[in-house]
Amino acid sequence: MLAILVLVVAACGDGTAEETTTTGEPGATTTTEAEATTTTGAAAEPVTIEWWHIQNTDPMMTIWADMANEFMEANPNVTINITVMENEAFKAALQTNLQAGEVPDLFQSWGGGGLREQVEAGLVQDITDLSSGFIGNLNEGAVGLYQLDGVQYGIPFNLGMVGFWYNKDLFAQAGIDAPPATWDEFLEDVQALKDAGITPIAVGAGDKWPAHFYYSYLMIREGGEAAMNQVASDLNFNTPEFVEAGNQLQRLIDMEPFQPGFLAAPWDGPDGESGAIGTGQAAISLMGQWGPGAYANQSGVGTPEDPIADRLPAEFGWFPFPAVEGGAGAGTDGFGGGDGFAVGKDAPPEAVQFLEYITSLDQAIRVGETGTTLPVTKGSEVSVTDPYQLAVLEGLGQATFVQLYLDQFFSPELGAAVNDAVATLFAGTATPEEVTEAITAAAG
Amino acid sequence: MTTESKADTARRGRRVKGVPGTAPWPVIVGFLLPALVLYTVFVLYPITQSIRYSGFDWNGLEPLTDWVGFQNFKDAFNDPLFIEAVTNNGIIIGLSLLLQIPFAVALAVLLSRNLKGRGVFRTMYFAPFILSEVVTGVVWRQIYRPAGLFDQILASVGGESVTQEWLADPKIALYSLFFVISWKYFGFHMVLILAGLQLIPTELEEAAAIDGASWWKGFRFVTLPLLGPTIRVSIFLSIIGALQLFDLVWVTTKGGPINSTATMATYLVDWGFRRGQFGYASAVSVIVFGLSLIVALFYQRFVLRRDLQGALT
Repeated sequence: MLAILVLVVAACGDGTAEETTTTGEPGATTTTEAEATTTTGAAAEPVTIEWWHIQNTDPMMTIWADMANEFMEANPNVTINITVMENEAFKAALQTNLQAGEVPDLFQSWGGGGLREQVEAGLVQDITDLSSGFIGNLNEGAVGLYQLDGVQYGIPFNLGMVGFWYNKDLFAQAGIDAPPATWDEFLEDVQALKDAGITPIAVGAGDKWPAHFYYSYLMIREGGEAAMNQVASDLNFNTPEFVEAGNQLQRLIDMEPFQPGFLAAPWDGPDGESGAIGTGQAAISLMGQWGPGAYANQSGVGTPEDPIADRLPAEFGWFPFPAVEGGAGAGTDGFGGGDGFAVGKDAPPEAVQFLEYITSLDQAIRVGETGTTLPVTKGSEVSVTDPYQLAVLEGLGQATFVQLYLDQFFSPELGAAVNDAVATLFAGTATPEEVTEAITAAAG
Repeated sequence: MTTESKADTARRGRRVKGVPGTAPWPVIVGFLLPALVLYTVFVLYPITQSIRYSGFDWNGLEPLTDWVGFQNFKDAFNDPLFIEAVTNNGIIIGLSLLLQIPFAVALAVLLSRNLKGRGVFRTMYFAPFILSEVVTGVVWRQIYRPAGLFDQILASVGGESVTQEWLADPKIALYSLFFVISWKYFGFHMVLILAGLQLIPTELEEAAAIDGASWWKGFRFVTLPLLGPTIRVSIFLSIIGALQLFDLVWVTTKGGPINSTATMATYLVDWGFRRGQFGYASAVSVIVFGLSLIVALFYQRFVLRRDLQGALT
């Protein structure tokens, strides 16, 4: 056992990939000395870009591959090696590579505390200057997620917000005619669904982060922007607002609204949250903009090329997390985040040029047209025609404040503590007070 | 003296040249080197590195600067979740010894008799062992899911009332997993014991039978003692396997729900790779290593001693 942990670390140390010296075009060996950070000329020097992303399903997996090929055609000296991984596998693999100093040139990043640790360890690159030419074309909020102390370390490619996706057929069966505007109404609707013999909510509490969405949103509703900024600086969760958030969540959990086996269910998979929603076995799912795509993939209907709406078990709707009576937060405060790419410490300038390419307006429109995500390039909003993505876009547009996912916002250790503590609340083994105490203790 | 020593050198010289079973140093070193290098690189070096890391508060990325001494070890023993993980390992060991091994012995004895189609049964019972742990985990996760195959079978024989959330109920998830572990490994132990049974001369059992011993007495006082060495090895492998239990748990439950199936190994991977606390995870790995080492040494010293006469320890 001892061996396993370090073996992985040690084995990666003498890893194979020698980033910048792989052959791309022969005959350019004359400029080996020059580090040539200038932007002009020196077009012939071959460079390789190691690109790790987690868009492991179509259509995005193919689109990314196509974009890389197009960029390589336009820049013959550039070779892009793509490594596609599933989310959880990516996190584990990245961790070992970072430790060994084998930093991919471009890799998936959510910003926040995880990026901060990488910056402090000197593993990612300051791209403020390299990106200054195009960063103004991107949504400022999304760009800010990859900025620490005014320095840009990465480029976002999408941004979204968590909200409630619901099955309109099941709502109609339970006699609910409008989405709830307040938490009390929401709980009433949950009861109505239960009374109609419908499983109200699916949650992948086995993965923990889907469960933490509920708690985080209630924290935001109870405490508002002020409390969220406060906890970001003092890491003290032992406040009346956050305990009250736990109490409100407890009200929901006590109704037993979740699908059978939710404590072991992952987010994605036939036995997961997406499976339960995609097959119409549960009515509501609190998830980000990627929700409908995942539900559709689990529905067993059609192929990934078909429009998402055709593959879902019913017509779906979206409503923002309802307002909580007596809370300091506004009903329009949002909770979400995005995806982007951090630039590794040894990445060639071409890596940033590639990011410029994939976030350019034309390419962003191409991404937006898939209906699976929301690009952040200004002007690409027109490409979003999928009604589900439009709903999220509208929610984002109205957002008075957007809190980044708590498990990304804090350090990985504290993020895991938040998720674990919330899972104990869902399992009924901890009280709201114990949850805030456990998180605060982990932060100390 | 001088003559003697001369004779010694002469003999030594001869031995080096001609006597089989010895070889000059360069040859010995040459043959040992590959294994030694592998052992050093993949076993000794990682172990020493882990021990070194275990004294630091280290997130795996920054330079090793934050020396905390034994604090990581203190934290581990003060963490109720780690204690729970150790307990879970203990429960798996206990159940394996109480249920899995006796069951394997019983099956082996049954299948060592002249049973029709015993080859088929042996193959069938051994088959799960051939599957990889990951495949087993994925398959059983689907079998155990709510309204999955397991529940459907129970329901079809009138057992609706005993259907459970096999992997989602923290109270029973560990036992559900133990069932899978037993399902996978009892065949292996059965084959070990079958091999042991074949080494027992039938004359001994026949003699007991002629002396009027009942089947049970023959089994209890003749077969079982002679099976001793095999069973002790079986138990040893079972204990070591349970201490290192990881893959199956990780694939089916990741140690959840809420740590109810966490083992020492899942606990340390969770702290290392999910939370990025590599110093602390290294300390845990040192504890697991020490624990396994102690168990292994004690077992070899006190239980396997007679079976391993001539071996080290």
